[in-house]
Amino acid sequence: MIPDTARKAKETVASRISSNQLLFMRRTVEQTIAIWRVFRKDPFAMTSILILVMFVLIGIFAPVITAYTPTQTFITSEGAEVLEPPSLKHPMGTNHISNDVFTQWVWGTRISIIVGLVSGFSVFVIGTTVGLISGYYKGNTDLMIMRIVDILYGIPAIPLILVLAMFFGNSLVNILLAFMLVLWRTMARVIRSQTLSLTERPFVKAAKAIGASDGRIIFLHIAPNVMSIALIQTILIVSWAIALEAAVSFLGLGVTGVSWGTMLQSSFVTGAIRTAWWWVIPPGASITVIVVSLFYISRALEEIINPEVSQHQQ
Amino acid sequence: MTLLELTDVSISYSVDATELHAVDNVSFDAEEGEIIGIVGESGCGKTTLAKSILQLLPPNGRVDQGEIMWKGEDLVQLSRKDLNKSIRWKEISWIAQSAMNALDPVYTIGAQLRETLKIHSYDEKPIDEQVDYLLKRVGIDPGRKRNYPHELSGGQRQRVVIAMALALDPPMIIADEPTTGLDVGIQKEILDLITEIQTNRGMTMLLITHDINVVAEIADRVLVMYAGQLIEQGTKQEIFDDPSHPYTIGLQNAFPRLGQRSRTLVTIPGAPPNLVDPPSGCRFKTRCPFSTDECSIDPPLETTSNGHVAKCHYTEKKDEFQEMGQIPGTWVDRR
Amino acid sequence: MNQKTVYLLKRVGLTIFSLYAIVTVIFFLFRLVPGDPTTAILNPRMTEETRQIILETYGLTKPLHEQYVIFIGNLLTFNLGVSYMNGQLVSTLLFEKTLNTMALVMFALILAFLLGPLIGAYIAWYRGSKVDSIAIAILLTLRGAPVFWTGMLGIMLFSFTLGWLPPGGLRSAGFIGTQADKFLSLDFLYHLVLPLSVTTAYFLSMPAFVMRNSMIDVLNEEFIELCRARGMSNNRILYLHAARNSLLPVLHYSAVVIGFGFGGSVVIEVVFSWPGLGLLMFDAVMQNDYPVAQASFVMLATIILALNLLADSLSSFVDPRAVVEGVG
Repeated sequence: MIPDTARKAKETVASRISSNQLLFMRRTVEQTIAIWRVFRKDPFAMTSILILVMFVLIGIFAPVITAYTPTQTFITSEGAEVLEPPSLKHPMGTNHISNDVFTQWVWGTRISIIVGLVSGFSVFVIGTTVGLISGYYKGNTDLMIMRIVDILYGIPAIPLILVLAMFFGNSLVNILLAFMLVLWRTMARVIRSQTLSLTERPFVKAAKAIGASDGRIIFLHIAPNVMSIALIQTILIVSWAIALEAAVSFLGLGVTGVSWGTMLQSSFVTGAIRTAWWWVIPPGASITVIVVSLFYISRALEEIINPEVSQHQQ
Repeated sequence: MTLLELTDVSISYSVDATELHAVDNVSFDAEEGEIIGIVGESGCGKTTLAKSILQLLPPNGRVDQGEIMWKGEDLVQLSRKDLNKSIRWKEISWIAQSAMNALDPVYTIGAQLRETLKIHSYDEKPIDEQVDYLLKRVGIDPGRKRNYPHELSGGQRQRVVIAMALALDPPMIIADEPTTGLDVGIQKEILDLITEIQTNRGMTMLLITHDINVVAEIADRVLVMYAGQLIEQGTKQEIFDDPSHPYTIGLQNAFPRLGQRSRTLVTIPGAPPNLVDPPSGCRFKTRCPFSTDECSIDPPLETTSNGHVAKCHYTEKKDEFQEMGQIPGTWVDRR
Repeated sequence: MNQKTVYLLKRVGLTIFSLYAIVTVIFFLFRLVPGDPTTAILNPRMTEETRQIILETYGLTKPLHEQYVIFIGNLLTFNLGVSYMNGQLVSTLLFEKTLNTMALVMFALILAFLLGPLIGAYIAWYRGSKVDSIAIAILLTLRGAPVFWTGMLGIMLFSFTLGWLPPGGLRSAGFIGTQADKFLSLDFLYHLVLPLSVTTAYFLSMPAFVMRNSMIDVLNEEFIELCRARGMSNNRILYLHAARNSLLPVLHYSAVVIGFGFGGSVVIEVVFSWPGLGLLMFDAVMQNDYPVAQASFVMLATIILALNLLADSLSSFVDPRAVVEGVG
């Protein structure tokens, strides 16, 4: 090709690709609006979103909502207010060292949300990238990565975290790292299979033909198309992360400080579950509510992507 | 003897918030031993009509009006339990389209045949004997009854489906697109098989198809459906040699026929009307090259000769239409 | 050699390889911890003499690759060393505890995979109805509630408030009997009821959902309509045809549930003070008992991988097309 024509061709292609980006942004906005409309029709999904928003707000405004601090003790002249059932002063009662349960519960929201969001985001980034690379390049890279994932699948989550905690201690960072290690495998798998099928599509072959670089293709062309699945998967990851944090804290290997998991741990280990239902029920209930809400949201999103086909006869 | 009598049957589906009127006021009879071909393009309502006979409509479908009389009993009013006990498969059976998986993939074909016999308490012969007999009857080696459906070819699977339909020796069989999706050579084989069985047993058959050539091969009488309505009915001879409705004329000229002198094929431009809100008057009028203002009035079923009816105002002009219909220029898009 | 056998051999190979990889990682993990290797591996409460003996026994004075060979050799001959916590042979401990875990977790998994798909099939049939919505809400809640929390609630209700069931443990104190007796006694059952119910309830939502989704797809297929035309009753279609065709994804998914289940055994056994593998590993980690922690981890991984292999081999029985298409 004459250099001048080649340059012009490249410019046209480049401009077309950037108009692709504009198209992508507009599509995203349209999709978001469409998603919102579907959500409005599904009462479970709407309630779930409201619940999640509520918890996020609770977490953010914890100091404002609570009059006390999580570690504050209440010792009066008559003795410590230990294991007291709910009252006006302590709407959720007190624990074994006279901390206010309600305060602990409100502040515990922060840990769960942070752990959930951070794990979700990091797994999203790592898992999606690995999945995209594996699915796009196929061949030996794919084989190797998938073998690693297969092996990781045989390793159970909590025992692995126990082992890691045994060696590396249990700071928040370590916990988050351990979670990421455990949670990225499903994301990678899911993204990979989606990428595999997308790579065969004409638009990818066309992009390759005009000489777009691999990185460009992967991140500008394929990635937008896996976003919906990635989003659903991320929501599930967040729910697992929250559940995992609770379990790990329950075992005593969790974060230092007060989280819902540590509350349950204390109540169990001190044998307070014999009587202190006010201490046991709220933290577990909030975990359940958040996790179930996340499930409903992911179901609503899945319905959008793969609507359940028409009815059958009964 | 008339076995099946449909009178003024209308069927509609509830889709989202609207009603789709799939079948509108169709009536016809089936005599013992007849093969009736029901032809029409996809969406004309022929399969819906056939399914309604055995109450196989999906939950959002229902027979709005009309009767479907089988040996004097109204099948529409029959309870599911009675239908299962006395009608389904015993009186009327069904040959499904082969292209889809009409057979359960996780059971052997022998097991599925056996099951059909068992649930109807078949006791005329030992069941295994009957299974072998049925397979032989359709040209499949009984040794293959241990095979799973995916281990058979398309043509073989279709034969099994036919064998299953024959299991209880019913007086009537409904065949829904029995040859669609098969290779042309296999199509002929299957058609021959069906014809042979029908001649042998003298059973009544309703043959649903969009392929007019299939009907030309084996039907005795033909029903032509369009947009949910029955627009022409007659013997095979009458329909093919003397088509009286412009749509049938168009159909004729759209399919190549072996043995006819070569001519250019026509296509009928346009598409069938939307059945959620069907047009008043003749439903073919927007695509009909011969339509006039009078066609805004719903045409009656005019009789051209005994038994041969067509739903058109101008049946007396049929010879003229037949001639003009052969010229591709007649079928110009008039929208 | 037919396709089925080839496939099975491949799967066995993968399983062995995975196990080998895990064991190797464990080896390096336990040997290359940050800090002084000896203080990390040895229990700080030991005397100098004991330290030397242990160093010798474990060959910790030898070069790494030699240690590795010894390590693998030991594993294969079940020479797993001695527990720091109570001086028992690790292999005996492991055997005892594994049985206890199986009695609970395995049992719960089996029940979950029997009940779950039944429930899933039933609600798929009535999809969209109230029964379906309510069932989904209940199943999601059972799944979303942390199993140790439901365990705690169960104990609070049935042990402390109502006094019907024991709050934990495998059997009452002072029980005398043979090994078999231990599991066949009424006392054992009495202790099993609460943990088993809670655990099964937790596990069963997963197969239930997978089954439901699978069924919904299957119910739209052609052959179901033909079953109806043939005059089959609804129950026959539901269970013998639709459900049977929907089982394959449930089997695939069982791998996830199995891993989940045995991983979760740690938490379950802690709540119910159930002396199984999970609790053993937990105690070991808490007390830096390296031989036991290491061995129980490998044991858990082995069980999971073995059960996955089993599930995979069953797939060709469930769906005759499975081997031809290949699984997963």
